[in-house]
Amino acid sequence: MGDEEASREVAGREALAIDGCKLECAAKGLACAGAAKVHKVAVFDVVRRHRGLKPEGVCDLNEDGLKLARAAAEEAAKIVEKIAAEDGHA
Amino acid sequence: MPDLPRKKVGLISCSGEELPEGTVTRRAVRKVLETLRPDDTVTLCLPLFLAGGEGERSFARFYPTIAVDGCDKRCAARATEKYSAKPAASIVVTDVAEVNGCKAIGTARRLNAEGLRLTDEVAGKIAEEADRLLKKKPQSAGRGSDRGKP
Repeated sequence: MGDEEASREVAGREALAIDGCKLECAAKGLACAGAAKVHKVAVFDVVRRHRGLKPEGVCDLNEDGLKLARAAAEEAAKIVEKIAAEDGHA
Repeated sequence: MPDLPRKKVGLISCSGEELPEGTVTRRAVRKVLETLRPDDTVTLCLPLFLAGGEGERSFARFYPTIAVDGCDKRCAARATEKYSAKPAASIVVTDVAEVNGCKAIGTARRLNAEGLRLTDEVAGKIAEEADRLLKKKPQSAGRGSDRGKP
């Protein structure tokens, strides 16, 4: 919403969006904020890759939901590690 | 008589990931949607709203909305006003916390008992505002036996 401090953090940098649905609003928001490159973790794809897990609950995820959250977090961490390695911060 | 669409109130919670109050907004809105006023409320997705979702923006133009923000940056209220219309009501969690003497409410990932109590207070306030906007007789605001449930 035009927060200058948040925009400064994003503008001209690589950023990572984690989106829950195909509309990819988080990625669009980062692009609009001037991110140099937007990396994406699509949660619906994470769900597809773990077909045996059936997430339930919104505020309080069930055990399968927590496993999927962990899987999405691991994918995000790998992207961050890769960016850091390319920047020579690893 | 024509069968007119039922009037509902739209709830827009902030996406605040930075503060535990953001978690309170989302839990409180879910509680109203699922438990307290399921027939009278719908939720609007703030990221979609910001990204240009015309369905969300149109709804907020023609139906009353309640913006529920975690902090005084009031991103949900400001976004609603910028892209649609001024929200019919605006609730800020830090204000509710101050009135109710809630202090350490846990973390953004895990609210403690105080955070869940604050969630109940905020949910009750949203339900009261929804009743007011729909001109309904005040019902139980849900601050009692179902405490802590989403």
